[in-house]
Amino acid sequence: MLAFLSPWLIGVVVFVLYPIINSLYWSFTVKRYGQPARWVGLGNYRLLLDNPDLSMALKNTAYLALIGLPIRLLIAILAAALLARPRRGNGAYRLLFYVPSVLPAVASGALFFFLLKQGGPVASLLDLIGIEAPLWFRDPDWAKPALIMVGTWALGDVMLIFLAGLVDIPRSLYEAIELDGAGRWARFRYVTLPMISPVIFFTVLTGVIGVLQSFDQAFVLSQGARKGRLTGEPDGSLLTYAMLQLRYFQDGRIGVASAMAWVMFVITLVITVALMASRRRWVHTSTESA
Amino acid sequence: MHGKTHGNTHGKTHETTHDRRRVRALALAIVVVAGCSGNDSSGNDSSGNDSSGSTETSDTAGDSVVTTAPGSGPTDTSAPDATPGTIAKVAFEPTTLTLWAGVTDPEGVAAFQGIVDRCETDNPWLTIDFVGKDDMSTALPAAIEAGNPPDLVQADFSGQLAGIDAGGLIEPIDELFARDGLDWGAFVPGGKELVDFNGQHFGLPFSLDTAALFYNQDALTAAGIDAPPATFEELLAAAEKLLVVNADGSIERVGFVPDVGDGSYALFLTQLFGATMFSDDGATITITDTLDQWVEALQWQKQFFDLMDADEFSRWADGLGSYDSADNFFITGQLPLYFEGSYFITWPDRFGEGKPDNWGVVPMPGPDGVADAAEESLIPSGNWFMIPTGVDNLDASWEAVKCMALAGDEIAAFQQVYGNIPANVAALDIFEAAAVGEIPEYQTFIDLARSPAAVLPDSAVVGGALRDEVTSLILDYRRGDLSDDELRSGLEDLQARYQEELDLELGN
Repeated sequence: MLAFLSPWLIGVVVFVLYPIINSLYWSFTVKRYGQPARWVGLGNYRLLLDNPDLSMALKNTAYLALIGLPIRLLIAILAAALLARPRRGNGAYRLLFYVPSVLPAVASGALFFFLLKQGGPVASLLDLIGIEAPLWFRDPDWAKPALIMVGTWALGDVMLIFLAGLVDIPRSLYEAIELDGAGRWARFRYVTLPMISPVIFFTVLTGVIGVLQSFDQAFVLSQGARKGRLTGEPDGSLLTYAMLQLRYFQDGRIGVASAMAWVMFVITLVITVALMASRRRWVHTSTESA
Repeated sequence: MHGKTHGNTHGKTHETTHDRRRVRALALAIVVVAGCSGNDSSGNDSSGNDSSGSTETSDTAGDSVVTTAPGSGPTDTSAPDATPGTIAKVAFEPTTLTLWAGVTDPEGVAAFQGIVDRCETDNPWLTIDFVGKDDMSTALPAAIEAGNPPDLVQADFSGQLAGIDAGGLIEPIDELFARDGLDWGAFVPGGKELVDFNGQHFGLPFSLDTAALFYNQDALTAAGIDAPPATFEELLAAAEKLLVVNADGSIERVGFVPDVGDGSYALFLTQLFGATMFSDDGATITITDTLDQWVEALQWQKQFFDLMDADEFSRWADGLGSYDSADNFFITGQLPLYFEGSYFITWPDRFGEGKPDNWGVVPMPGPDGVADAAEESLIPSGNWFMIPTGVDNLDASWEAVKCMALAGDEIAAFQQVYGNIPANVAALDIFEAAAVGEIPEYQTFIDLARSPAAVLPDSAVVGGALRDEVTSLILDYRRGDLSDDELRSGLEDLQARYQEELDLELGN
């Protein structure tokens, strides 16, 4: 039995477990490429916790998670609900909604950078109706909402998952509740929502993890503000993953970068455990329906 | 800057003529005869770039044997009593070396191949496998860590030498340099400084991104300015005259700003005022040692932004066309005075239309006037050839590095593609003769490159992160979000925090 499993086991040990354990070890060391690690205990963690940018980056990332993610999921559910109804040309509509999520985040970032810049198409349209376009990616007040807007545009992947969940709801449940005189809201509240709650749970969980790793789109969109790099421009919009990726890896400081990665891992773990713990209270399972 | 190219190209075009293969196959032992002088102060080498180093091929029992006579040989394998100036036998088997270079666009690859070919011709035992790399700063450390580095590298690691030194990523070449009797006089002073960290040299310089002030003479004339600014006062006055604000308050044209709001030259230009960030050994942050200079330098920068409304300037900057296109703000006339590297000379031709009719280049004014050739050159970045640690054959890599860094015609031809300034004097002379006739603006950069003093970025292992944070602080200050006192305390806070990080990294 072990012999059959060995290719998988070897793969897991070499490519998953070893790097994880190694990064945990390195997080307690000063480690640079080409040099052996030097033990510094909690030194890297102390530096991180003393760094005011960490709390700012966490706040910004939390903003994207607490405001951006619900907006994205809500719009994805609405789009899926519209597209779940049988209608002519539904395939084309579904395709149109899905296509943006095929684009790499970097490409969609570049696209929105062009669309939203001063003198660009959006600013020109707003100008026609007498509205001054905001400085989307240069104004601290607008940077995060703009990032949410760009992220929400590419919601095809989430929409598709919701769509699969919606079309999977047995018609008989709707017929039963309609016999009881339920209106639209009641049908949604007592049939649709419980039946897609496992999908919502899944998308929230993966969405939070995705937000914690947000980097590429913000990096591209901020190019106009800072040529070459993003580490918190416009002022106060640093994200956790940007801090890890640019501040530490760019200097080859693998030890402190590993510590940052573990801080993010612990945060992700806490959120995941909290979500898992809350699952029983709001996620409908097939056992319950049986 | 020519690392900013596209695509990953395996640029080697193998020259596989029958004769050449024969030479390579049979040249199992290359006899290097040390030059009578032992030390060639001209800085030339076995690449055959100079008459002091000759290369010849003779037949021995029907086989070709390459005999070179450089300043000295790479590895002395002769009898123990061999003395400098006498015959030293060095064996080089036919060797293929992998070269990673930050050159990936087709035009650049073709020009770079000329340097490779030259070195292969001069060193018949040598085959260079040239691989273009866009992601050098991550790929190279990873390859070294994995124990599989390329044999030599051409890249721009300006401002990162402390990390290279701390990680032991690149071989210091000082011993090899001295052994072969090379002379730094073969390179312009800024080239030597480019590869210098704490007294050690981590390769041989290839090109310098010497920077100066581009000006649009038509815009200057229209604004009643006869000549490009030569002092700080003239620069500020010109910026004020050239600024065009529309009736609705929006900005049509900005006269001069150190950078277009991205902070890209904010730190570098503070050095004009004597502000420093790190000590020479990269172990100490020196911001507070030169705090007055920092504040003075940033006050100077802020003056240009204070000429405009901060929001309107942001709108103007946000609406600019792509930096590397015909819509570049200098080309379009939106910024008629522009501090930039020599490579920018190639922009108008590279991007076609949009070339200003009447443009020129002068040295950037310094606090005491023009930073002319007699004073110092401003070199924000540059490229060099280097040897990663852990290569299989250090001597062979060194021969290749020397050959490539000291090539003349081929480097001059390559730099005409990118507009960087050759760092070796011989190539610079050829470049000057070839390029200035066609584009006179090169002369300013060439003169600056020859300056006895140079300003280059300093370096420490926390340099990237600290530069980012200081730049953010500067952007806040420029916008008027911070007072002078807050700027000072912000710089002091960063110094304290990063010194702690630096101490931890270095084990102090």
